[in-house]
Amino acid sequence: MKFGVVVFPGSNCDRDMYDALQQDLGASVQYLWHKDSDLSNFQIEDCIVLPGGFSYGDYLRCGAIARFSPMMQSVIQFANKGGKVLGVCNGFQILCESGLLPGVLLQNINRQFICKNVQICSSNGKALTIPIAHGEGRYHTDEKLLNELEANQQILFRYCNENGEVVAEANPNGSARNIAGIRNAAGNVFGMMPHPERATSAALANRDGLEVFAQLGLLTEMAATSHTSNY
Amino acid sequence: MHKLLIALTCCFVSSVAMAQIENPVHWSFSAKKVNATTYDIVLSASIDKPWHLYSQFTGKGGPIPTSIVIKPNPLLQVSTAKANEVGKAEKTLDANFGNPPIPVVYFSNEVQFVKRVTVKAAVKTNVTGTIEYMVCNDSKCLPPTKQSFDIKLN
Repeated sequence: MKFGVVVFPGSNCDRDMYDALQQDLGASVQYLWHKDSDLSNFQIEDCIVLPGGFSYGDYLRCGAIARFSPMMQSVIQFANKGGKVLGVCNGFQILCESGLLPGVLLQNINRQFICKNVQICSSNGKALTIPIAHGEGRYHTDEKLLNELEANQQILFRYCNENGEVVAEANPNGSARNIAGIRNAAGNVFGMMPHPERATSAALANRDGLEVFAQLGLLTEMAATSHTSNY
Repeated sequence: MHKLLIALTCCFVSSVAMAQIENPVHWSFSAKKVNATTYDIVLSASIDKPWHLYSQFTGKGGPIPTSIVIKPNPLLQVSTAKANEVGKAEKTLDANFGNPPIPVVYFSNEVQFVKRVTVKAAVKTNVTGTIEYMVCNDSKCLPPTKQSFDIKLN
């Protein structure tokens, strides 16, 4: 599996993502400039990553301008053909703005930028410690769509406490139903606010991010071996 | 001088002992799974004799009725209806609260307050909140008390 990391003006987690994928997951990675549109190097089984940051300054609304970039038009086509796309933080916001994922991300309930480690849980109930760093990470949509996401098992991660309990106190930003990450109905587009790429190395004293990549089906063979033997 | 100090100490100790808060109600909390997404949360009170605890439906103008407040949890759907009361409710006209006497509903010995909640997703979560209640015996009442609860739903 090959990865492409899109670089928008204002992206600031592109290098973190690139390094995590290349050095900790052992994957082949290349940068993709936002003004380009060529994805001919990528096959359906490959993955395009939209990293965190402040694309185009996020002046209008987070991700609202980035969705119109030439590269995003190609990414949308790539996703519609079944290619894997992962959006982290600002990347999640761009995916929602571009219509590849349902819902929106609103300003945090406390109206403050939050930067800290939190716990997230997938359906297996195991708590993973992953950093968040965002001002607009409050996932929101209507009850009907939330129920559809539940029914289709599209909610990948929720904020939880250290015991794996999904409780209001563990919700850092007021997200609906503690949602931290979702996927599309087809299962090839993933978006999440926490930053797994900041938790993939023993040097950072946190390798829970590898578990996140594993659960998304994005772990390379080499990383999977390392993950199971050393985790 | 020693005798005076001993006497003062005895007075202080006895006054502290007298000032201890009476707590004639002992609470326990649990959840009963009804189906995959529905639970009955059970707030059980064991009441010392001769105290009695008032119902949620006791008459106006009398003692403070029991009330349950559940803290908002985005994963829970909680009925707005009052909790079911499981216990032997006794009704009387109590002249201590007014003239003409106020109709009151109360429980002695034990009572359970049962409230139904629905979990919107198949996750581990909890129900937290407070129950406020008031107890009296035949000669006095205690001030309304709030008891917190935290019930795990697995």
